[in-house]
Amino acid sequence: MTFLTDHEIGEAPLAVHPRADCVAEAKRRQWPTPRLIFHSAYCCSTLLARAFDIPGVSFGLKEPQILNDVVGLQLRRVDPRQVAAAMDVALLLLARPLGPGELNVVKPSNLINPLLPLFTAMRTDLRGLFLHAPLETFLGSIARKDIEGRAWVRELMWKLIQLGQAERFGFTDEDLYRQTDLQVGAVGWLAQQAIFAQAAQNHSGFRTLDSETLMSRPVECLAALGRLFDLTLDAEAVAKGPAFRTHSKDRSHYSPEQRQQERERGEELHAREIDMVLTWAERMAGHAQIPMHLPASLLEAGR
Amino acid sequence: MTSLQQAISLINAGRSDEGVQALRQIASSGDPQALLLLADMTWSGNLVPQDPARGRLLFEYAAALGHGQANIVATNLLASGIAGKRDWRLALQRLAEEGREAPQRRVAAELIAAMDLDPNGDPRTIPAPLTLADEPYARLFEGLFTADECKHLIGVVQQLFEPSMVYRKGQQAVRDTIRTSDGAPLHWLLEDPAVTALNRRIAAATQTEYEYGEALQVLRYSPGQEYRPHFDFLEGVPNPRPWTALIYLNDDYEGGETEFVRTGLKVRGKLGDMLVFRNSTSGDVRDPLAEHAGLPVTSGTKYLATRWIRARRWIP
Repeated sequence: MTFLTDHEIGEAPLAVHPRADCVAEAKRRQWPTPRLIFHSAYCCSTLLARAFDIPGVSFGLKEPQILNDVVGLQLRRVDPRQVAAAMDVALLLLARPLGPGELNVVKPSNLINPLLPLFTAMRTDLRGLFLHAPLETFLGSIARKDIEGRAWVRELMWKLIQLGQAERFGFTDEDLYRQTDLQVGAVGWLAQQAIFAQAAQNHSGFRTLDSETLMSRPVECLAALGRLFDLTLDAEAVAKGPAFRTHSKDRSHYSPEQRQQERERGEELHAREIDMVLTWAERMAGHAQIPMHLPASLLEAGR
Repeated sequence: MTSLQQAISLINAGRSDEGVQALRQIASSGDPQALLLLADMTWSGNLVPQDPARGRLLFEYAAALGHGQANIVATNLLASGIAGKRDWRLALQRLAEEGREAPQRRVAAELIAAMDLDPNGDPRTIPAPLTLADEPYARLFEGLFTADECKHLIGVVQQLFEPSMVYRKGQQAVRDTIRTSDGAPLHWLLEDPAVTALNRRIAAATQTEYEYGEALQVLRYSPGQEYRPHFDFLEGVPNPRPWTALIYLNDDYEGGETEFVRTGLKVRGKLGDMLVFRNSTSGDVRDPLAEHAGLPVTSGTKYLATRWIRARRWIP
């Protein structure tokens, strides 16, 4: 199972407990707030969450449905009190460790990103990572995925619009309609980049990382994350483990070299389109004052 | 864990860093009272960095956990859209719920019910004003506010009257003998949905946006109190005040006219009338003819609401 969604859980046996009992128990136990990996998609976030499946140390929860449900409430524009209450319950329940002494590392779906201000307002002790792919890599991944990738960015952008994230760009409906798939993808990426940049600047418990750095310097990144998340882990062993050597989605063998080759193939096939959109997106970033490179880098000296 | 009382004691003893840290921890554990305190501090920038949007989320979270006062503040902000999204329909639903337990919320709900509003909370019609002068531009909207609305505005701020403040060149609000009225800002946390609807009416009448307006001020002038000749325009600020709206909340007093001292125009508004004048000529230049005074009240008490309107969005 990759993601903790109803679809993937399927027919697995379930134990059913009343929610109120679970919440009461969570409050009584006072488990530490889960660590969080926020991401803007196509950036090895599932891989990184899997890397935290370390028995006795931590467990990586990938895209738990309960957080998607909180987004669903927001999308339906219910009373903000309901959204806050649901988020509170979700964070309490997601803190429950799988094994004794373990700490949960949660990688939510990237649709949760617009709700980041709510996370940080509700839990002042949050520690988290903002993981992203450089825009060129992101666009290459979308293009490489063909119609599925292009449909996905449009769907993402539609939800970001519903969550109020397109307003910062000042686009009219016509502007948005006229954008190509990769332009839409770039706007979605920029919107998430803006959310990350603001949170990283304002909250000391957050660091940022790009997927290229993660894949080229995994040991350093894991060691730094261990410190950020307050976990005792053997970074070298984790970097040699299955998370980095098998495919996140189907568990087939997958090396960093293969990943690099695939990426280059995608970028090569769509180089002209990607170049044009990159130039356009950089201009947009300048207008909207969104940094292409995030502050508070995980590997930054002294952090 | 430190108790909330201990956290407050630490802050009061000057150990604010420790106190705030403890308060944050208690708030993070879901204590509604600690959340309310932290929300208020975050909203106003007291001991923690000012962040109205985050403050609003904290009010909402405290409300979700059952804090009544936080609930009222959060509903007010939902109605006005200050520091976050605006949802007028939902705010009215919440106001109706709150009205079951809080009389002043019920009054606000009843006032709104009596208004002719569109689904966005804006007035469907605005009466044409009387032209008082073109230099300076001055218009009078007769009876724009009802007696009940005026009474409500006075009632909301009644407990808050404090000596009026004026702006000085350094842009700090300071106490000044030039204005001897008592003034109370009906600040954004206090602005209930009925007041929001009234502020939106002012915006519609002045053909400006609600978001351009400063918080409504309610002024009380007792006999002998006045506001000597002055300009409302603020010089050297990036977002100046081109417009002033004055609402006469009562008329059972003597004296107290609004006088444009350079042209001699005197306005003695009746209850519910709104005087609008322009403080600047074209561009961002002060109009010298807009110098005005609130003449001394000779008997009775005068209540006046003032809305200063900026050139661009003012609210966070």
